[in-house]
Order: sequence, then C-alpha cells, then structure tokens
Amino acid sequence: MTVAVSSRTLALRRLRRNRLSFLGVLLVVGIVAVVVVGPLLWRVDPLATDLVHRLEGPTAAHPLGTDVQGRDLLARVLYGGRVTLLISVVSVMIALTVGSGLGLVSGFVRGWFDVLVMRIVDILLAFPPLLLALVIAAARGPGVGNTILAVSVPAIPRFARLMRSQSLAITEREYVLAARAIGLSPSRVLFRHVLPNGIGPVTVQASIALGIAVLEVAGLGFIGLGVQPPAPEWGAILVDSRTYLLQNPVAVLVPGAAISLSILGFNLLGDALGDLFDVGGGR
Amino acid sequence: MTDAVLEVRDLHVEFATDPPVRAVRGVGFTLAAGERLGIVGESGCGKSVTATALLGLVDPPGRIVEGSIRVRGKELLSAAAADLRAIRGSEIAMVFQDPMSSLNPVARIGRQIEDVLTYHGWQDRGSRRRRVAELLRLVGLPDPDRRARAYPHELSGGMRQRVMIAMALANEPAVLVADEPTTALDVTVEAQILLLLEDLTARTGAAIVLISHDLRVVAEVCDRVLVFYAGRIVEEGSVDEVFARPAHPYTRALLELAFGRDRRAIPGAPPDLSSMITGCAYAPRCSRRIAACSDDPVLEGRDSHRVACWVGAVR
Repeated sequence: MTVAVSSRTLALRRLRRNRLSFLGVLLVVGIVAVVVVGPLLWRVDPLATDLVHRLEGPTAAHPLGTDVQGRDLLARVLYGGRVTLLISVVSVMIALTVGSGLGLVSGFVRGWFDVLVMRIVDILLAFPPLLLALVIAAARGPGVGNTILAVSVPAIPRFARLMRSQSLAITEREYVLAARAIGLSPSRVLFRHVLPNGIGPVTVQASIALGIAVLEVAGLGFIGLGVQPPAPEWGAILVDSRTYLLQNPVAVLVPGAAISLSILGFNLLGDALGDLFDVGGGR
Repeated sequence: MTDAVLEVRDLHVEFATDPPVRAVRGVGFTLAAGERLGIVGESGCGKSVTATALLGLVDPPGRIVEGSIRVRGKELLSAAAADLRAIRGSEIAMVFQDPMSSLNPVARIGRQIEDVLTYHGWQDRGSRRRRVAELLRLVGLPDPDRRARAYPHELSGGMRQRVMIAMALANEPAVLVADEPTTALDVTVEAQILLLLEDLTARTGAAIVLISHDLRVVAEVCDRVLVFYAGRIVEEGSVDEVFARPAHPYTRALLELAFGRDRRAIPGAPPDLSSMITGCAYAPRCSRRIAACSDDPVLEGRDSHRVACWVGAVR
C-alpha cells in the first residue's frame, strides 16, 4: 500500500519536474526566438531619438512607450536582448572552453600541472562570482570586450572543477585502458574517449552559468560598468527607465521581466539537462 | 627457441603503495608463434598485472621494477612511448575481462574498430570500412553493416566480447593477451567465445596468452600452462603433463578444486606481498611442508614440465 502511494507521489513529482523542465525549454526557446526574430519584424532603430515623443506611455507607434530621449523601447528591448544574450553566451562559451579544457587535461595528466591549475581555480573560487566580475569590470573599464572578460573569468573555476572530476573518473574506466591497449596516443584517448563521455554534466553547468551570466551582464550594465550607452542592453535600459518609473512603468517592467525570465529559463533548462544526464542521481 | 614471439625475463612489478606491494616477483617465460599459453592462479597472484605489463600498461603507482619483455624481438620496457604505441594493437593486443565496460559507450562500434586500423597505418577509409565489415563477419556478428552502426549498449555481452576480439585481431597481432575473457559471460556464451578465440588465432597464427582462474577453460584451449602463486611461477609445462601429473602441491589443490570430487578449500590465505617472502611462498598453506621449504625453490625439470618445489618433483 505504502509502495503504491509512494510510487504515485514519485510519479507526481516527476510530472511536476517535467512541467518545470518543459517551462524552462519554452522560456529559453521563446526568449531566444523573440530577440532573434523580433528586430527583423519590428524594424525600428533602437538608437533613433525623438525628443518630441519622449517618455510616452504605450501607444500604437511605440507599444512599450519611449525613453527619456524618445527612443522606441520595444526596439531597445529587442536589440538589448541580442546584446545581453550574445555577451552571455560568448562569455559562457569562453569559460566552458577554457575551464573544461584545463579540467580535462588536469584530471588526465595529474601531477604538478593538476596541482597548479587546481590551486589557481581555488583562488578564483574564493571570490563570489559577481564580486570578481565587478572587480574585473572596474579594473578594466566598461565595454563589450571587458564585460565578456568580467563575466567569463569567474565562471571558469566551476567548469574546471567539474571537468576535472569527470576526467579523473573516466580515465579509470576500462575502455580507456582498452583504448590505450590498441595503441591510441594520450591526446586521442583524451578527445576520443574522455571528453565525449564527460561532457554531459558540463552542458548542465553551462546552462546554469548562462543564467548567472545574464544576471552579471545586466548587473554590470545597470551600474554602468558594462555595455555603454547608447547601445541597448537590458541592464542599461532598466537603469535608464528606473528614474521614470511613475511616468512609464512598462519601461521598467519589460526589461526587468526579460532578465528574470531568462535567468529562470536557463536554470530550469539546466535542471532539465541534469535529469536527462542523470546528474546527482536520478530524481 | 628462435621463433619466440614473446619473451619475458625476470619480470618484477611493484606497486608504490604504503607499504609497497611486489605483485610480480621474477616471472619469465617464452611464447612460440601460434602457441596457446594459459596462466592460472587465484586472485591477487599477479596474473592480471603480468597481462597488463605485457602491453606496457602498468599504471602508477604500479611500476615494472626490472625485467625484460620482448615482442618479436622488440624490447618494450625501454621503448619510446611512440614505439610502444605502434606495437600495441598491431604486434600485441589485449581482450579484457568485462566487455560491458571495455567499449566506449558513446562511440559506434564500427568507429571503434576502425580506430585500431587508423592508428596503425590504414590510410584509406574505404579499405578500413571493408576491413571492419570483414572483421565483424569473422567474429560471427551477422549483418555487419548494421552492427557497425550500433552503440555498445545495443549489443549483448557476448556480442560485445566479439567486438573486442575483432578490435584485438584487426591488425593480426602476433600475440593476443586475453585476461579472463569469458569470466563476465554466461556459460553458454563462454563456450562460443572460447571456440571463436581458438578458431581465429589458429587462422591468423596469433599466439594466445589466456589468463584465467578457471582451469577447465585453460585445459580446453591451451597447449601450455603457467601456474602462478604469489607473483611467481610455481609450475609450468604442457597442459597434458601438468594436468595429468601435477607436481606442485598448489597445482594439485587447484586441480582437485576444479575437477576432483573432494572439493576442500585450500586452508589459509595467499601471503602478504608487501612483506619480504623467504623460501617457498606456499609453504605456510602446504600440507607437505618440510624443513627445506624455508629456502627459495627454483623451477626445475624438463622443457615440457618444470616445478618450483622441494617436495613434488617432476616425474
């Protein structure tokens, strides 16, 4: 009896998890589709100022209203999404490549290289990622390149740690020994056997890192250390509109919601991938 | 022996653990072309370590302390890493115990077999593909084109072991090391795999080193047998002679366990290999122990049968 109940609870839990996973996929696909396709359909220059129509509420010509310089907010949010998401994706790709690359080799060769890399990783991990991003952005100054640097570097350690543990475990597997027994060179063993078998959890981490990256890119934009005006970027749009919250609340709500939903979407997607790869035991 | 394809001399393997463990303590044997050699002994007697040493695959903390391993005259232990890789998979190959875990789970099996060819000089993709299909047919997998596209999890244990054998024999090595190749398989499949191994090595002329704890398997497949105890060879000779007239009390006990009616376990446990062993390592468990057993016995006898024992001489 208890078995029947618990298995039903389990099924319900799985169903709920699946719904959340589905929501995550929907959010990510939806947001990406909107920022990719949106500017193609809504052909309004996000940089064109119109001081006559500044700080307007939603109208037919400007569905989200205009900002303090009369720029169309819908166009700015759409283009801003491209900027924010692209910077996030590029940063995570860089962190993933560098971090997993270091981790992969560390776990495989071990020895002094492993010790060196892992101590550097420990140092980076000692700082909260957002703080580290702030420090880098503050030291290097604003701009797209520096934002990418500021967001990617703090994300490296987790990828390195994760891939190293994968690499350590997989190197012990019998098929790696078998691969060596047929004469494969270490680099081929690494790329042919260790990497493909260890990449699963890294994609989960990448999705979660994307959520953090969106937060950081927007956060840096918000405090003025990220992408510079007049270029649109969600965080920057948010800080511009904040002052005029009472005149046009939509201008704050929409970019704010876009940031939140992106982060939520990437996190749920990460959970979904985690279930898929069975990371952390089948829940 | 001039046609020896494998010559092992005074092999010592040590594991640098704390305290260090000497798993193989002076093993030497030669393998003639096409010969089938069985290595038997209980767990932890150095069989598998010897097997991995034959391909130069002893990993830290393990280390080959001294000795010589020659494959077709080429010394492995002083070979450069690249030369060693060229020998592995072409001159000497290995089949592992557990076919469920010795194939890469995320690569198609055709690709994995093809890799062995690619890394040993098969430049042309078309001829590699043909060879893969030929090998799959050779190891008895029907519909090779479809099988080549399968992932390991789509195959049964027996089929995977066939794939492993296809990989090992892809470049027609002179020596095939099979470490407990059927232990993880069903009894019915075991017989098929053994037959396949016998048949294919006979066809390609490869010599086999068959490592097994199962004396029946060795009796069925091999011409010659080495009995390992505590990292040493205690008895060696032709399967016929050793199985008919075992000289070493340990071999007798093993045979009694495998074939006899009186299945009494050998009392005691194998010695601790981290401590110095003086004299015969089996003496503490031996029922026929005499005073001389505190001295090191040497392998003595004739070519077809030798034993390292003070009590049981070769008859």
